[in-house]
Amino acid sequence: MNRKLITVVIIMAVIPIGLLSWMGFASIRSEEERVRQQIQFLGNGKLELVRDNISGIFKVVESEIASTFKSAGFETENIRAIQRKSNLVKQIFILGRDGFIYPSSDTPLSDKEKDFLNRIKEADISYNFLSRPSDENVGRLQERGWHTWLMGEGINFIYWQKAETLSGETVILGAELNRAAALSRIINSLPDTNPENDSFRISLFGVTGSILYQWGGYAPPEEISADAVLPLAPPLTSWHLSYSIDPAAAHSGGNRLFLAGSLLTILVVIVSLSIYLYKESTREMREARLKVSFVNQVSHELKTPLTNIRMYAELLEGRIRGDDKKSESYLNIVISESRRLSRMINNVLSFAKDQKDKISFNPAPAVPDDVVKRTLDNFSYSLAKKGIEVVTELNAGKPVMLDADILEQILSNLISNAEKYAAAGKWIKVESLFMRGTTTLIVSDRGPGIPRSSIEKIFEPFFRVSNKLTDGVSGTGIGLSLVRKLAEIHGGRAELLYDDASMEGAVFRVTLKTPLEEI
Amino acid sequence: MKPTVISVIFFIFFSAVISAATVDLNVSVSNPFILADKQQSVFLKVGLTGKNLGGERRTPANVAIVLDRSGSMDGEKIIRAKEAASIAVGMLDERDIVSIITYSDTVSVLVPATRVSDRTYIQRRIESVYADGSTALFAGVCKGADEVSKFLNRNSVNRVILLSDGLANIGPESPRALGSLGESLKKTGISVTTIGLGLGYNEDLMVQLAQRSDGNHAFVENYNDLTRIFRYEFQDILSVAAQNVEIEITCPEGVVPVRILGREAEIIGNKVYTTINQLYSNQEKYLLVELNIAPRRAGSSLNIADVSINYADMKSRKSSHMTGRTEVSFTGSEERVQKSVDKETVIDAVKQISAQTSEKAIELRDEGKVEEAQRLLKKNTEYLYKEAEALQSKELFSLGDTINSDTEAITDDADWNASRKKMKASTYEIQNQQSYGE
Repeated sequence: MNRKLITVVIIMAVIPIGLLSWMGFASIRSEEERVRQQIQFLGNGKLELVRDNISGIFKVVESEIASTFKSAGFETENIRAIQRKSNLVKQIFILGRDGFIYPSSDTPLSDKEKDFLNRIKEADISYNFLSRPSDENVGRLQERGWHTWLMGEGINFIYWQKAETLSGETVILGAELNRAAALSRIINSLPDTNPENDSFRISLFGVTGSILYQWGGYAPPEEISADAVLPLAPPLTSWHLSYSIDPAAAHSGGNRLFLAGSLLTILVVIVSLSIYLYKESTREMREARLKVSFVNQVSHELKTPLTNIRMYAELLEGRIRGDDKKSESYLNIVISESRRLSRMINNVLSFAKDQKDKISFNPAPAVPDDVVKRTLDNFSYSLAKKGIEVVTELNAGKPVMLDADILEQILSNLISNAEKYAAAGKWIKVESLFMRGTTTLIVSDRGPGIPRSSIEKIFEPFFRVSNKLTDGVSGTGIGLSLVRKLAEIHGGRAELLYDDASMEGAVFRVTLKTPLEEI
Repeated sequence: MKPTVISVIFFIFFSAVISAATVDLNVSVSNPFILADKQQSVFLKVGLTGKNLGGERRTPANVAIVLDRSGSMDGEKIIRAKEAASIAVGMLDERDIVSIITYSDTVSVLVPATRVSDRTYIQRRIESVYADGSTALFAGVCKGADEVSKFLNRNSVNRVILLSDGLANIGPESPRALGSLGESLKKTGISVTTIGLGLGYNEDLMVQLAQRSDGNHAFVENYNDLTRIFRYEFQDILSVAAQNVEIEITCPEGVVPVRILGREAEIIGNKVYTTINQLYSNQEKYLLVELNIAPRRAGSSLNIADVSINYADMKSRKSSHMTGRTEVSFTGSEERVQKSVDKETVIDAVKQISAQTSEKAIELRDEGKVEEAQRLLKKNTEYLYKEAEALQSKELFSLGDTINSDTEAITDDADWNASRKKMKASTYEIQNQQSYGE
């Protein structure tokens, strides 16, 4: 009963909780996925804006350099004067088909110009190389463009365009950018961090993967990858942008919190409901158990005096037999009641033992019918007094291996039940049969019977077919469960036979494994 | 005798003309007389001194204060930095424009470039700064310069003041990169003054940034000195007399500029170019050029340099132009040569040479060649004492004492970090002719 109840309660609680959790989890997951996609979309959008912004800066740089070329012209001193003033251009150069026209080592050069010529050697640039057809425009020579190469601490930039000198020669005018100045232009075109309300971080990474600039008040943990990543447009394709948003801000709390909250509420309700139900349904059992446990303790103390009472009453019975009818009748009551009491005590003790798996099984040669008769004998007085007729049909008269105490206890309980609950039928029948090593006992009555729904439950400890039937009848609620237990110990079983045809009365059948006595 | 008289007259004449302006130009040579018939070198000095604008007039300032608020600034440092910035803002008025920029992991423009009409508001904003995070120094300077650019004006002092105590670790972080940024800013007309606080910053980076942008640099070991340094800096800023000074020196045939001492300059053939962003009142900035002079016969004289100066005059608020020249005379008399030596010019040259030697010693020390470095500094000390003796210069004596103590310091591993910062700063003070320092 107990285990079943627990199972039911657990199922009742676990299934809805599991289902709810799964649904909640799935919904959060899909919500998160949706939010993640949204963030990525949003992040990409933001990064595209930044990328376009940076491209715009480079367009401005291009036109600035173009106008620098225009004002610088081809005259060396003029070029120098212009480049001394430019905060963007590090070095201007003129490249003819045969090499550098300016700066040229044929004329006196400043240290900077010499440095440039040394530096540019590594870049390996020439007229033909720069104006080679681009990847997009196959077969067409380029007129202007960017050239980048890696040296020192990052990318070096050259912007160049073709021009015609006064003498009609086509040359390349180029400008090497001051890298720091170019980066500074980019940085200044990008926002700063507003410490009060920024919950994102956008970072600009250089070619070596180190951060060149970043803004936004959110500091993403290093191990978490960015929500969106975007490379820059040419000539800055080796740089990239990343976007991260503070998860706390992204999931806006609301949805998630609401979901978690309602789930938690439902969980709490279900769990407390289950606990309440379980407690309610086991309360009676717990109370009865307490009763038994108390009685069990007391019974040990009662057993000895009771045995003495019974012994002396029975001795006295022999003495006064026949002399005094009235005294004899009183004495019978004493004996019968003390027997009932000792049965009850035995039941309680056995039950307590069963709880600890300590019931002993001691088969010994005995005749089942003798035990049946002796037991009925014990009840003869009280049954007669209630006007209950006892019918017997005994067919187990051979000595078999039997634990007489167990059989007696089983029978006593069944008869006692009939006496208690089926006294109105005024009839009890006890049948016995021995067949192929099995002794079968059937106890029938003509009482109100047992409702079909309770057939199995009556064997559960402390279960009682409540209301009408047991009203006014006291009992511990352990009798039938003990019967079944004892039968099982004896290698058999106890059951309630149910016959749809006869709606009244109860028929209990007990089978015990009783091999023939071995001679 | 005759050439001397002429040159003196020349000098007086030019001085008189030049002094009418806001700037004094002084072109001099270390040896007005040199030996005849011999290849020799002399030092040419082009000195420029700003003058008081007069009365209450001063050049308006357009300043960005860039504060490092990285984690390492936490505690006493940030408190003193905020205090110093607050006091600096207190020195400005409605004529000036200020912006406050802070940086750690990222940059925040705390107070965008604004006219200083509500000092209390700006100071309250400064008060809100707290320390935490990394050091995005490059971006901090960029944003500071950007704020200055918004009100960039030839007639106001455009400056970024950077205060940092740590190594740049977000964005470009090399002295070279910051130097390039400084160079670009100088061309824009913005100088960056760098103030290194404590022992954690990279002095090479801070000096490069100041040097290439023609700003000041100071090493502040004791946080309590920060306020003082800020005061000096702002006094400097508020005393600017001329800006965007372009200097062009042209030498005649037979005179070759070989090297520049101190300041950055460009030598192309027989020409030297350089720029100075600001000239302060009563403070000389100069350029020293070593010239190789071809042999000539005794009795002749030669104009060795034509100096042409363009600058923005803060008084007239107009572009001004100035020229100057100087000549040497050739003599057979050694005594004549010795007697005519221009002490001031030679002292400046000795200071610059000594500074260059100190820099070389630091380089050697960085390479782990401690003994070599120490030997070099010892030589430097001896050189200074010798020149001090010959020129009877107290300044050189005391500089000799400083270098002498550096000779000890360079071997002391424990204090090398502090000593290096001190040496870097004082070397730069000489090279930049800075008016203030430790």
